[in-house]
Amino acid sequence: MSQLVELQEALPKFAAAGIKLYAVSYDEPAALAEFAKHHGITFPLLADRGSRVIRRYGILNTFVTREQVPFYGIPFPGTYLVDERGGSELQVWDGTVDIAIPVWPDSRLAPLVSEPERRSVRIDVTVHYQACDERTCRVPQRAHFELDVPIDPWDAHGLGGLRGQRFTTMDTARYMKRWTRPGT
Amino acid sequence: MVGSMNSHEIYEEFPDYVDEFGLIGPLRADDGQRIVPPEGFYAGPQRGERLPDFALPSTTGGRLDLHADRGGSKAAVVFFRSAVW
Repeated sequence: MSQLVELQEALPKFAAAGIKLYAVSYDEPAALAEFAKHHGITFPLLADRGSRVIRRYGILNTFVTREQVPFYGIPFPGTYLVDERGGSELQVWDGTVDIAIPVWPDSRLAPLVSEPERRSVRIDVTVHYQACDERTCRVPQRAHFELDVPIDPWDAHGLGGLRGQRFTTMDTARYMKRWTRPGT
Repeated sequence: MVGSMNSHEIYEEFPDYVDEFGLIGPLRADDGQRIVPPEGFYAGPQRGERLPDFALPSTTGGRLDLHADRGGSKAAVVFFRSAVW
């Protein structure tokens, strides 16, 4: 299974992207152990005997009949990407992409703009991405850059903030407004 | 025998083993293991869903619980056919 060997070679890049790697098949644990030893696979190979997980996921290859021993039980092969929360988060775009991310000031930002003449804040941005075509995917990449985000005066009222609540983003927004529009 | 044939001869001799992309495999093209699933087939847990929990024997020792082991880290879970054949 050359795919596993290629994944092993790419393991440092998965690690650099903060992604743990797991591989599941219906093989016996002893068979996987032998394969892992022979090919130097260090990430977990998981033995789904009886294809229970494969069935639970709904990805059993139903075109292979029960009579086709030993092939019955294989999945439709595929990969799930899991984000920190456990969802299989994977957004796919094609062509040139504009990504708009709402940014909300919080209390940590307030001291940075206490000088009235300051009109922008520098924020760190890290983008994790992976390029694919219909058949294959390149290894995941990470791009890091800094953005100077302009701070515009705005009216924080009417956005749902409760009066008297301190240390909320809404309160911070009011401070921001005061600092960025001196005298109002 | 097959090894001494060129691909053109294989195409003529074993048309049932050539799939829609012109690839020749050791199984008939309509064998369940070679079939390309139809468009829109169910591909398991959908984008944004939490991957169902499971714990399985691992080559790294003991049983491994996916969500416990990744410990809040991102993860890629690869389902592959077999390490044996």
